[in-house]
Amino acid sequence: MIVSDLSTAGVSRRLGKGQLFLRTGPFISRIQTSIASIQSGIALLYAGFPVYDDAPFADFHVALERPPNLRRWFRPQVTFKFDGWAPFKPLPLNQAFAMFEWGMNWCVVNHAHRYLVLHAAVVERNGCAMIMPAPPGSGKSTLCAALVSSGWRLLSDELAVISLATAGLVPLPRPVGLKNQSIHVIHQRYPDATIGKAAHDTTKGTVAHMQPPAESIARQQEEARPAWVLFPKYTPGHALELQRYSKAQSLLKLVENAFNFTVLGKQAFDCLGQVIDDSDCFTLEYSSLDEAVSQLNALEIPAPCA
Amino acid sequence: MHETVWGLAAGARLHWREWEGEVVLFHENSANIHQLSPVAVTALRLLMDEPATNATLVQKTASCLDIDVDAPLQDDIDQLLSQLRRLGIIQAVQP
Repeated sequence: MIVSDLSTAGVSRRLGKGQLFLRTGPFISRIQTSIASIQSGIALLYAGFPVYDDAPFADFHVALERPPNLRRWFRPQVTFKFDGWAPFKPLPLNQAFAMFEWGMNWCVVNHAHRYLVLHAAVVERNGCAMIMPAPPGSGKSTLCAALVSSGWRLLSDELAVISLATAGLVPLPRPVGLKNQSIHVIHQRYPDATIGKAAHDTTKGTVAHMQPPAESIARQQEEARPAWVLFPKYTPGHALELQRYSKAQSLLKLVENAFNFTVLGKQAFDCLGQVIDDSDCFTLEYSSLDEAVSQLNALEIPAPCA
Repeated sequence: MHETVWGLAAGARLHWREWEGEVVLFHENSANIHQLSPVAVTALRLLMDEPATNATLVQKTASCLDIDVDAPLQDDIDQLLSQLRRLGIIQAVQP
């Protein structure tokens, strides 16, 4: 059963009772919320994801609630809870779905230590994965959204999940987070893309999420081999520039972007070493999404992944 | 007064990766990662083989890399040893 097999009322009822078990990549999350914007966001943006009425085990037990304080009457808020505990301060209620997404990222980053987890987008074609670590504002998510709307498979928009056993990229295809102008850019370029309701005035500006392609969800159990490590940077007016980048420097940057490198120690070093062994590393500076996508489509597949 | 003899810190666990002549060192004890220059790689590998004083290490490193012993190399080795000691990778050992 997938989310869209249920009626919107059915999704809401299960969420209200905490009886919705959602599979995203290798994780099952039990989600409880009565907040309408999250219920409708899940019904829309997670429409193609497997869902269960019951599951023998859930990796994450999360709830999103309106805190029972006076603010609920004049400035309503939302709280994210993990195992009944609130790791963050409440946010304004209009940011509820964004908080759900950020909270789900937090669950993976803080608890999934059987994987090495990096702050990076990951896309795939022909079984070969491109890891794109980049700081906020570098256009990573916009480029990721453009690539997955142009035939690449989405493994993750935000978290690269790497198997310690195989150094393969484990899919975690969740909605792609878009910010500010990139919401308009993606909407204009890909009018068929399903984009959820925007949340304004968040710490990241205006935020909206794009539904992942159906094929990415259908193949969410299918690992990909690392083939490219790409450090993208959007610079307005800059001519497209793809340059090979030092493997040693690439490793250092991947470590900088790893959430649990120090937790995993040598296992993580060996795993990232394997990723770099198998990958060609590049920097990409661009201003035109068309040119960037075209350039990345033309990349030669490195021998270990061929 | 005799010069300090430097050796690998007791229990230090070091792992290396090399690509296109560039070396990355992982110090497992601290979970820190460092990119090393060719001089630093050579000097650290020499120290792993056998403890040495600053002066001896300068001589051996120059010999391994087939370069001259000069003031910049001595400065490099002095700074390197100071950094490695601060990072807990080497320590003073009994001569």
